[in-house]
Amino acid sequence: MQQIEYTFRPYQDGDADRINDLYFRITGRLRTREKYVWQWLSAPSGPGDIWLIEAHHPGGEVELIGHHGIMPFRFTQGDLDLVFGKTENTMVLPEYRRKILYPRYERLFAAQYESRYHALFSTMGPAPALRQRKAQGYSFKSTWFQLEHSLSSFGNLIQILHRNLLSNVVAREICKLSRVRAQSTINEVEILSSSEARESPFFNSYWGQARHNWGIAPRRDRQDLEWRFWNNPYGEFATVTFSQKGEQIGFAVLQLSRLPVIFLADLSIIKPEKDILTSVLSDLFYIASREFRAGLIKFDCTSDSFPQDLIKILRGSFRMTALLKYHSRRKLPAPMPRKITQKGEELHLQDIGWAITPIITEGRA
Amino acid sequence: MLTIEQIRSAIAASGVQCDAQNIDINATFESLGLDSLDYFNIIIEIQDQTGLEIPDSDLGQLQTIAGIAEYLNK
Repeated sequence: MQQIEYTFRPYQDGDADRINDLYFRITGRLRTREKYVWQWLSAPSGPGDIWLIEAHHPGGEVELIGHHGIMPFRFTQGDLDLVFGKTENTMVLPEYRRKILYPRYERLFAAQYESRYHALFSTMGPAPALRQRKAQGYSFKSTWFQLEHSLSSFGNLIQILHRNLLSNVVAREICKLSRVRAQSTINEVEILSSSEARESPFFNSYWGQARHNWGIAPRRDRQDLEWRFWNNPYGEFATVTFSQKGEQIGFAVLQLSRLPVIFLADLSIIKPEKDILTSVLSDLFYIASREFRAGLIKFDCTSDSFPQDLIKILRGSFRMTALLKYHSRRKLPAPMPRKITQKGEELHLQDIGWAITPIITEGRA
Repeated sequence: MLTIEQIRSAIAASGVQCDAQNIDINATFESLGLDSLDYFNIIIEIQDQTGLEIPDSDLGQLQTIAGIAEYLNK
């Protein structure tokens, strides 16, 4: 009897539609070619590392059964420019999960791509995905937190209503009628659409200054923000910049697709100082409430995202809850799997915290 | 090449969460609630102990302890 043969290869032009089909078969989610191109081929560091596993059936049919990808993200550590890789769309058709030894393939893929990256990470996932990361040498030192701030007296109600498309209409009406609770702005604030943000002089020099005040952090040069947010086909974003007496002090990117709940897709302040964070948050809540009639603002960060004194401010400003592992019976906080590669170890990155605000889905939440 | 008892020991050494000494030798690993990563760990342990590189195309024969024993003793 002839057997199925399994082979693997890197991405080639023309694979996008087949990968999207596989993605749909496994997740039930549709992804357009435009979204694929943005996610996998358009990052400032260049195309992702994309590997395909194929089954060659005795009749000659070649079936795509598995995929593993690494999305390159630019990071910085002071003056150092770094490239980190985010593990994404690691998937094998269920009917093949006992027919191939997937981790063996990933080790072969990693041997090909690891030298490109200073570190690898993934965001969250169900318990089996986390075990898979552990098997590949990722460690779980930091955990995810979700922060929520109610901008309306009906914050809890909005939290429940916004989950459903129909009841979300009610939530939006409630927010329109609610009184704005926040004070007026403290700083000079600009609210920019994606097209305005692309042209804004604010981003000419912002990260060039801020990067020296933070440890390992996602790079926020114009090119990075263009890709992550302003050219992102997954949602509608507003960018808010904050300045004091003409000096830049920070910016935030608001994901508006789920109003009246705003997901804070990025938050950056020029340096880790309490007064700056406090004033930026105060203005942010005002803008979210006044300009966008939002009832709730949410964002995710990791346990090492900010220095402890700033975490205290976040705890005071938001309701801060640990994000729990999917399907966790023991209700453990969700870890962020990370692996410093040999290239990263040569730069001694292994002992430094990561100033991560929601890089979790690059604004695809 | 490996006895049933040696295969049980290999399963225990692989670190999977199951009572390796009392598994029915004809029960599939899937029916025991072991996932694909557990299965990977078992096969890696078997490979380490035998020095064999088991190709994916043979995995269909290695879904039970009895299947592993038969495969290794061919």
